[in-house]
Amino acid sequence: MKKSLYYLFLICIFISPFIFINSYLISPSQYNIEILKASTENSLENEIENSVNDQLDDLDVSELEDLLNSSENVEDLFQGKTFLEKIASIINGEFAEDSNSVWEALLNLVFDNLLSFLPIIATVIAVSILGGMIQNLKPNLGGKSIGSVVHFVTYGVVVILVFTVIMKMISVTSSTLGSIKSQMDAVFPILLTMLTAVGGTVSVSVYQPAMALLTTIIINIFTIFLMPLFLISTVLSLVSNLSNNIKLDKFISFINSLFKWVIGLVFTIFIGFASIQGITAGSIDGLSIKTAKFAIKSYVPIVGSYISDGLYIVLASSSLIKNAVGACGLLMLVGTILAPVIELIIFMLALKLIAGIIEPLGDGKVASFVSTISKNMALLISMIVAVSFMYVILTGLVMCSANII
Amino acid sequence: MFSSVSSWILSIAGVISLSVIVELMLPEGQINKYIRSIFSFIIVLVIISPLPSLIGKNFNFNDLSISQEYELQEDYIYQLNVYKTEAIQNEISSDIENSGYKNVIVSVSSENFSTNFKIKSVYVELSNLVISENAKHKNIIDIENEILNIVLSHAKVDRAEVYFEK
Repeated sequence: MKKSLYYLFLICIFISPFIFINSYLISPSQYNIEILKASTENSLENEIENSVNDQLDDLDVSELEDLLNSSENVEDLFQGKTFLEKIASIINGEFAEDSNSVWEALLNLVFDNLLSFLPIIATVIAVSILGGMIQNLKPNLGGKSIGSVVHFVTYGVVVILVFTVIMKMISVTSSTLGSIKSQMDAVFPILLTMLTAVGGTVSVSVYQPAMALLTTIIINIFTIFLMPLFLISTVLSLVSNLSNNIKLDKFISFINSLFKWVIGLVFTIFIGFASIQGITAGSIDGLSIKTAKFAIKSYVPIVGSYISDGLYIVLASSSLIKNAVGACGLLMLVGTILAPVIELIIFMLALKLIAGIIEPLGDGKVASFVSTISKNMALLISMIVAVSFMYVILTGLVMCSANII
Repeated sequence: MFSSVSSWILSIAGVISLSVIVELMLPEGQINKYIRSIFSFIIVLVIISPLPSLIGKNFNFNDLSISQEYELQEDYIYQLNVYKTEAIQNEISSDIENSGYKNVIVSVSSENFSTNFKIKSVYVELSNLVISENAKHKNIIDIENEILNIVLSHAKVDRAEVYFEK
């Protein structure tokens, strides 16, 4: 049940940029319909484009450009464009054509990872088959102890092989969390600036603490509390399968459920508060923007009908930029988490496959060790997914608020 | 706190490994069973040993407090406020011109450095005023009133903050 939720979140994260971008590209056309009664389409488009370009010149995205250049996957996803160029092309509606290359990159990642894990899969299976054969075919010399020694050797080799990969996975996960944090630190100030520019001052006062909470406390909880918990559970599953008599399975399941409950609580509380407060603040902001506009319109007797609303062009282009910045941020997020998440998933599946293959060969303890480790890998995946999902929700809320023009 | 947790886990792992090695080395027999149960007791003791010290302990969550505040890009907001002011100014002057009063210079001053965009005051210079034929009023007071209405329709500003210069 919980695991299927994680996968649901994962799918949501990967799809969300496309949905958000497609839905927010509608807002300029709605805006067009409203204002176009007076002005011709071409001149308005030009005006908005000019205004967008003017504003993009003033926007400082150097931090994001640095982040963009530091990651190869993200650069591929951006197709060699700079951040500003990508924002401009998203505003012009050129986004959907990229989706083919995304799928291609995804398939490439899957097969690359599969190939890189093949040696370790083969070695683990070979070692346990050998161990099983020796145990089954051993001459009846020393009785019990030769069998135990063979089991220990097999187990030790498998543990060493699996733990080299796990250590790599841990460093991958923590570096991914770190780069998600640095992305958030770069994207959030720009989003807040844009939100202020559009007039969403109440929303800013809600989202500012929420964002600070996400990037400091929640990331800290993940790295200094949940990461050690994962390590504890892994180490205990190692020692628990050492002997037949002493089992720590229940203790491991306690630690795993502690992990899941902490993630679940943090996630639910954060998303709950951020969305409820954010939606309320957004409606307050929308009301104040609307009343200002209404007051202006009702005053104008005749003259107001054919002027081009310069102020609204400025605001509309700001909100376009705000949504495009959010969309680009999500695109960067996808580029960052795609590779590690796929790596983790493939490793988890590979462990399950290994456990399935070596189980019939007799050595039940090695098989149960490998399958426990594969269950633990889901914890690492859920860490990345939970942080990214909170980021996606927060960005989506900011993109939704103060869009009333 | 975390070092004590890691030492706890290490001692659990150590005791279990020790028991496995002892079990491996001892010959099969009656005594093996007793040693096994003794080791089980030791493991239970090791697992529950840190629990009593948790009671009455004050946890320090200071390193989890929010120390971060995002800074807005002031330059951008300033520039955007300038754009907004210009847009309002252009609208007002084009409206006034469309009503038939030419050469009226309008200047809008607003709080550009604040995140809360707000128009402070509007100055209307009527010294070079040219009244064209389609204008509604010819009287200067009526013209002022009409211009005042136009200004108020575009800018949310106090009536007293609209200044006329003749």
